[in-house]
Amino acid sequence: MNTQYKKGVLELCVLSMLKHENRYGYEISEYLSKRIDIADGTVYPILRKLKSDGLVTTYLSEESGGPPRKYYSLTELGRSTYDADCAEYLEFAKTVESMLKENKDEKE
Amino acid sequence: MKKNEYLAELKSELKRNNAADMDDIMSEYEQHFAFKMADGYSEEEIAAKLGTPAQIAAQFDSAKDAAKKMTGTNIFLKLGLGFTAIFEAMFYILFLAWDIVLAVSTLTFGVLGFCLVSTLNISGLIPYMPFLGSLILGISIVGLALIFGVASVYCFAFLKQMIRASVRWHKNMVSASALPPLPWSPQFEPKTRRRLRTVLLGAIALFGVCFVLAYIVMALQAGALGFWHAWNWFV
Repeated sequence: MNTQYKKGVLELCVLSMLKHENRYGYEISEYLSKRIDIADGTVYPILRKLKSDGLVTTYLSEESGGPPRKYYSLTELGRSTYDADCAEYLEFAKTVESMLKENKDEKE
Repeated sequence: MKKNEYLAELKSELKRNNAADMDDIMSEYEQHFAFKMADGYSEEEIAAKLGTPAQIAAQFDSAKDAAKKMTGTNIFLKLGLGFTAIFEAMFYILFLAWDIVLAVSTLTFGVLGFCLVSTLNISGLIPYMPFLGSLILGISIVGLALIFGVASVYCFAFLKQMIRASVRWHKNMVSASALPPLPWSPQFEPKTRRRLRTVLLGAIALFGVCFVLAYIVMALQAGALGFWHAWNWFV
């Protein structure tokens, strides 16, 4: 599937990952690239964009053994954006799915 | 590609794209390498899975644009927009004044027309005029009031739309996410537009016909072309 198309959806996926817990960049990158076929490097530009849009903030946290990790957490704006976009996307996906199924059945 | 090779190339690509916060971005990718290597991947594998440095750097473009918009040129842009806004506001106030003139004219002609038709002569302001002439002249003045009414409605809609369009334009100049620009001329519903046009054409016809008719009727009633002299209006 083309990457440009996936990018908007990936933002939503990242927000959903941060809804219940704060995560660091590598964790997000691993989680996403295991489930969705994208280059590992694509996640960081998305995180940066979310940050410059004010949807997430970052903080550094010292971990035992290793460099400090940069954690991402949702801001209030990020939370409300996620709620709105999530509902909108699910609705959209449902419509697309039913449309695709409908037209597929007609042909067969 | 080895780790150091990859990072060096990424750095030069980022520099070429003039990305904001380069060190921050670089540290993110350095950490990525560190974590992946701790998980047992080879440097080459990690680099291959990341995507080419050029591809990665290109994706930071938008971040750079956003950052640039928020600083530097923004001060001059805002200053310029502020100046434009002052002149725009002056123009809009002038335009509003013009629209108020139109609205007051509508009201004045409406009252005058009504007075003439109903022969209501408030404190003797209207000079002598026989009833038939006054009735027809009154109708023509009502037509004139309608013309001004339509003009003032149109001008008000125009002013409103201009202000909306310019607010949208100002917003688009400073914010990264641009909304489509608005048209500057008023956008009436087709039904409203047809109605306004019908009223305007009807009013022009009514005014023209009745005004000429009133003159003829009064000239006949007075037995003189300059009936205002015959009735001593200006004495």
